[in-house]
Amino acid sequence: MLEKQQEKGDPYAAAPVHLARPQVQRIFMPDASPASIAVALDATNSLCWDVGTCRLRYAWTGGFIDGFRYWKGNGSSLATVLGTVKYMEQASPFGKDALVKFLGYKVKDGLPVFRYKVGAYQVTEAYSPVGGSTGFVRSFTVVTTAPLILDFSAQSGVSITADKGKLDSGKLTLTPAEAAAFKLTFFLK
Amino acid sequence: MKPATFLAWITLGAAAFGLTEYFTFENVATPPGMDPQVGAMGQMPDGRIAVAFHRGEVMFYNPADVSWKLFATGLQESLGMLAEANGSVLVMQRAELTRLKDTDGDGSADEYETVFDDFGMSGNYHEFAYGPARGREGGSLHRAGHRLRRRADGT
Repeated sequence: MLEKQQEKGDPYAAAPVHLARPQVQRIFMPDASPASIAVALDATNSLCWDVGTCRLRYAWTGGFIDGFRYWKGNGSSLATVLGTVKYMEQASPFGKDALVKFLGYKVKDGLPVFRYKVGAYQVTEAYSPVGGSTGFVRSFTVVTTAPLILDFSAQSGVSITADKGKLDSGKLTLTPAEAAAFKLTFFLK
Repeated sequence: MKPATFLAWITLGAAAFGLTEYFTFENVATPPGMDPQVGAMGQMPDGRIAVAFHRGEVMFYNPADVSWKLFATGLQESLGMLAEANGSVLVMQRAELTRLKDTDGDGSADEYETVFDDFGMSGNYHEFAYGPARGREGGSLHRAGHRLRRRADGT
């Protein structure tokens, strides 16, 4: 039986679920492990969060993703990042060798709050847009009885501020009380 | 193959095999703008039908008023489902078994709880995950790629 040739392009690209912002979408992403999540924070700021390693991989500006190559085929293609990657996080700020366990995420006003264990820590990590600027806000809660040090010293292309703790040369030191709830703002250059 | 052609084959096949003697077939229009490929279905305790679509949406179809309501989005290749008595939905997606919960009662899932992901995932194109199926002892079975795994803790 001859079938009509498929029209080119994604026939569902304009579907409301694809155009919604913010948006959380699990799909194969480039430069990340297979279990990854693409997050559109707003119209121009997006990021890739890696479930396999429980950490932020990269952030970009422009559009969101084009997943048509993945959805139309046999499920092996990667989504295409629609924009320019402005920030790549080199390693987890909790340390690159810590064991991780993903616990899922909550969605609050369309934005994700990731839940995971890393080493001895139980963590929630929420993302939101900066508002009026290029970048994103990471809101953490960490359960710990000892001081916490998060290491962002290897990161480039970004300016980081913290609402609690002491940030020195890319290393953020927090008391257990401060670690219970703190925010980091990432301004992308 | 066009949806209409596919539907015709299904209808003809059902008649040919005598299924129409045991089932009532009813055409249901899929939600507007939605990629209509369905990966999983389940019946909620209140009679609504939970349907997982190809691009990650889970929608409730209400036969009483012939309506669709979006419940969850952003999943990856949901190919199995179990509706739970408390209104949550267990969905087998590519990387994990996920429990979708509506904790604030607004009709949409706001918690995507990872129930089980220990089978891992390599990203191979043929590595899809199926199930879960309720076991006799309350556990669940699911299949990931060529491996069969069992949980016995009631999930």
